[in-house]
Amino acid sequence: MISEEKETPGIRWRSTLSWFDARRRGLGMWAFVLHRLTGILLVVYLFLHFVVLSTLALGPAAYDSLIPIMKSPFLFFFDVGLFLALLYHGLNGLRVTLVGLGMGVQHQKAIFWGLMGLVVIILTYGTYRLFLVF
Amino acid sequence: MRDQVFISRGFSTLAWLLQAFSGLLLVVLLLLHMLAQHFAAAGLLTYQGVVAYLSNPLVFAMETVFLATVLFHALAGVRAILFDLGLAPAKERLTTLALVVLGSLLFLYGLFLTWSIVS
Repeated sequence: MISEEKETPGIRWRSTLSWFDARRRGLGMWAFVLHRLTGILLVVYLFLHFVVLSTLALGPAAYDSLIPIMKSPFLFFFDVGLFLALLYHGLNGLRVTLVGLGMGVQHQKAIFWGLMGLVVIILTYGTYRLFLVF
Repeated sequence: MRDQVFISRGFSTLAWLLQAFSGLLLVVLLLLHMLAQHFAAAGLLTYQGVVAYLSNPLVFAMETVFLATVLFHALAGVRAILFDLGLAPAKERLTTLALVVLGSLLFLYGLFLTWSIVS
């Protein structure tokens, strides 16, 4: 199968889409799929961040008129979702790095759940702080 | 999840190490980025607040390093996902080149944007 894939110069859509399907493949695969999805979301956000900050080039009036929009309820939920994606990607990334370098390999399941606990705690605090601003 | 970690096939060993290192750096830089903006700064909810924030040379340096690191990490991640599609070597080189150009342009744009409002 592998050699067959190498001989085909075309795009491997089937195997490409299969990374997305984590069913019956265990926690490690779920962690990987979520890492990728949050990674893609964060890249999209990075570009959005650039677009929004570009209003700074249009002067004080343009930027200041944007602030009330940033405080709309929809963007409160957007920010909480963004923070969740960021925390998951960052903290799971720490586990991927550790294990990839051969550290804590036997305990990575415990490390994963420990980090997810940290995600919940930091997200709760962040949401509370964000709520005070909105 | 006992004895292996799922790593994208799109990463070579060097690319993986660079991604891991820039990721670790981002954990620190993003923490600084958010702590500085949400706690230390007087407020970024006005244009003047942003100008005051970026006028601090230490902040300017930190945000510049953050910009470069986040662009590298994001586009290297995109590259790994694209390479997972099983591209021909010529298309892989073209993808890398396109992403390097895009990253450089975005870095220069970010730098220009920051510089233009501070000065």
